[in-house]
Amino acid sequence: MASLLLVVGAGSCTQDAAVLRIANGADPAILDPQLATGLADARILSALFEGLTRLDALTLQPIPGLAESWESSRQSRRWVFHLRKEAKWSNGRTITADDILQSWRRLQNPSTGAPYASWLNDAAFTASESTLQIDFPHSAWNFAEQCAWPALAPIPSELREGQVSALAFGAIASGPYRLAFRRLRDRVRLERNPHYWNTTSTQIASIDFFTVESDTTALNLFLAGEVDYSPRVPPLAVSALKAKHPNSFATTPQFATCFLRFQTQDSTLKDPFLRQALSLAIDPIALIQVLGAGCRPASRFVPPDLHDYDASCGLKTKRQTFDPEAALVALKQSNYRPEEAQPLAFLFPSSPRNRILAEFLQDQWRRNLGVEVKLANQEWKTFLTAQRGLEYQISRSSWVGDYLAPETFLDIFQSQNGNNRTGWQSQAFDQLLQLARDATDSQMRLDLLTQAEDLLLQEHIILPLYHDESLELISPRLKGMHQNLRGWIDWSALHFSEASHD
Amino acid sequence: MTRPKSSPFLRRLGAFLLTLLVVHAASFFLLHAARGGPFDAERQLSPEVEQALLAQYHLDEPVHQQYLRALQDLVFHFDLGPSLRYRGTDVSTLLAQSAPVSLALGASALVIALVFGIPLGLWAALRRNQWPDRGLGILTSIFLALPNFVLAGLAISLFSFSLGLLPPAGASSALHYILPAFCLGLPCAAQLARLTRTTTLETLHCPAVQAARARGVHGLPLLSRHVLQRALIPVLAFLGPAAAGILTGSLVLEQVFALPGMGAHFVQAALNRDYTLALGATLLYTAVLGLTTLLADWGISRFDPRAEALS
Repeated sequence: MASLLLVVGAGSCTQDAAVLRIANGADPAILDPQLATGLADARILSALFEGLTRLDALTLQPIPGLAESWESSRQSRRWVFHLRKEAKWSNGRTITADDILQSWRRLQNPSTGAPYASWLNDAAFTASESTLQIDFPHSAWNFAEQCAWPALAPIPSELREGQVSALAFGAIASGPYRLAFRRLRDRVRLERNPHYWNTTSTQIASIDFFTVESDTTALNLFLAGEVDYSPRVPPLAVSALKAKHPNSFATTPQFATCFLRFQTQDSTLKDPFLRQALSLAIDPIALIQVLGAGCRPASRFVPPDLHDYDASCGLKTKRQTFDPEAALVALKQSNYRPEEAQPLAFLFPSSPRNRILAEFLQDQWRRNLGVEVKLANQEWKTFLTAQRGLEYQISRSSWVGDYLAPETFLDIFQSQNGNNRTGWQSQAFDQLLQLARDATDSQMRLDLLTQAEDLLLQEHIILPLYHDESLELISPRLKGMHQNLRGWIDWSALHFSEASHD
Repeated sequence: MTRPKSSPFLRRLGAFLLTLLVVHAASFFLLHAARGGPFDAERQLSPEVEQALLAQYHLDEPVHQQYLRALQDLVFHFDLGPSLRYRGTDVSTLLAQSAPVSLALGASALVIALVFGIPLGLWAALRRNQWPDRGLGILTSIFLALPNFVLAGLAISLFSFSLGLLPPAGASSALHYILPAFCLGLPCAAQLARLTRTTTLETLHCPAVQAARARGVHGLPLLSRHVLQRALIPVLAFLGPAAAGILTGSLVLEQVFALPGMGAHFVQAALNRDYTLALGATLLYTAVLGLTTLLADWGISRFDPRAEALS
């Protein structure tokens, strides 16, 4: 057996105190920034591929990345970026405006299969030696922020032209780190990129992103001192961690919402009074108590973290979220008679947490309305297919914002958007979003978006349940980590202190 | 003219290859019958992008046509195709990286099972109804009753956190494989110990052994020449499927110990609708099962003259 264990150990790597070790979650599918979507993949890619901009980890405002400066037209339809002359790939070659142009053309090409291809829909680019100009047919208010997301980062010609194997993506990088090696389902090892324009500020020599799918395993690794950072924690362990490891445990709001979709073409659920009754019968505070850690109450779809937008909403609406009496009144106004009708059906993807949520909702509807709801869980892909095909009455959903603006949430309920999945088509809603896109004034845009969200909520197309919070474990020896809404890490700011593990 | 008698080995090999083809076809159509596709996600791709991807992987063709294409690639080129999740990477590359981990873990567990199971079973049989026999009965019941993830939890709690001897997960060094190998091997050791005990007890009372005793053979010579040779034949028959089970049975433990083996590919590929990877992993598991069974049969034919020789 010893020989067999040596065989396994032979290909392995030794632990090093100078290596930052992260229990990253699922194995990244591919280290191609244009194809990735998940937060775990984006975490690795943001260390490898820098965009024209980066985000300030404290404020989440765009700051210079590969571009040293930029300007936009008054309506944000034209953006001009000036590349830094010292920007280089990790092989020493200069990063040119043409690299960015070609990368964006690849993103736009449907055969690339990029999930974020629509970000550059109808955009036109021109490049000179170190200047890049992008023209949109509509206002692109958040484009500087979007440029920080890996999808819009330039990728090297070797990757664009298919000269490197998929497992070596990241070996030629533009960010603070480059790929050292990758062992599938084990780890992605990054090492400092000596050609990064800001390499002198990068303090940690290497980073190991471990594939750890189980939250409990991630917790074990952290407690045993085998990892320095775990972006996920089993919710059941939260109270013990708060008591025993207060210096390591951190919880941060996320720009994400868990909500219910009502299928508005269903013969029963097309009744707006019934949807209203079902919405008003759920106590959001009790829900948070039942679910425990990792969520904060929601009264709107867009998380309450956009100060300008929140102020705009606050002036116009005080949304009623829980009112059992009003719910009963709405139920009486509807055509649904619980004692005669078939029970409603609630569809959710299989998971222990979703089961708890489903049973809570079932109990609330029974208790507050006398409405019976059957629960049905499905495996994830089966669930998605059912939801896309509108084969449900009420279903559990969630959405994570891509950038800090209401559009990243509201756009999905446009009539022709593939993510709508409610059967709801509203010309008024589409028009409000279009007007907001064309708005020349920022306040006018926010007002229009507020009206659109109000319409979505007043028609009870969805019911926001809660906004997610991240639960993280950070070793006290790791400094420079700033928690923020988007889980954005400034890799150059991280460093180790001498403090011991608590 | 009589038909030449075909070799039993070739017959078994033929049956094995046929089994692989049947498993391939059944898995292919079952996977494709499941709802949802490899590119479905919460954030839906635009119709043009989705269509381009489906065309790129020939998923827009009728299923029977896709099957014939996959069969042709497999039979004529030994090509399992590209993974649909790990885009740009072939299934054979993915399996080549992960299979050695699972196989090494399984082989270590098998060695543990043999080293602990057979001697303890023998000892219990020779001390029938005494404390070693009773103690082993209780111990084997515990290991057989505990699911391996519970065993893993207890082992991590004891060896990683209470004693601080071994890491709780990961694959950085040989040390990381000790806990999972024991958690995988001990339940099998318990089964082996029970089986060895029973077969040894039966053998001790068989006429051949009684005759040897009458001839004055006792102690170690009796055990090695007369008892073990007979007692271990059923154990060998059990080892074939048990080895396959142990080599392929590490799915849960790989998850608990975050090991980069094939287990997660096997489960996740099906959930991700990564048809090619799921199919490749299934075929590899089938091959391991078939080969270990063949090997065990060959072993029996060497030791047991009653069995048909697989020469």
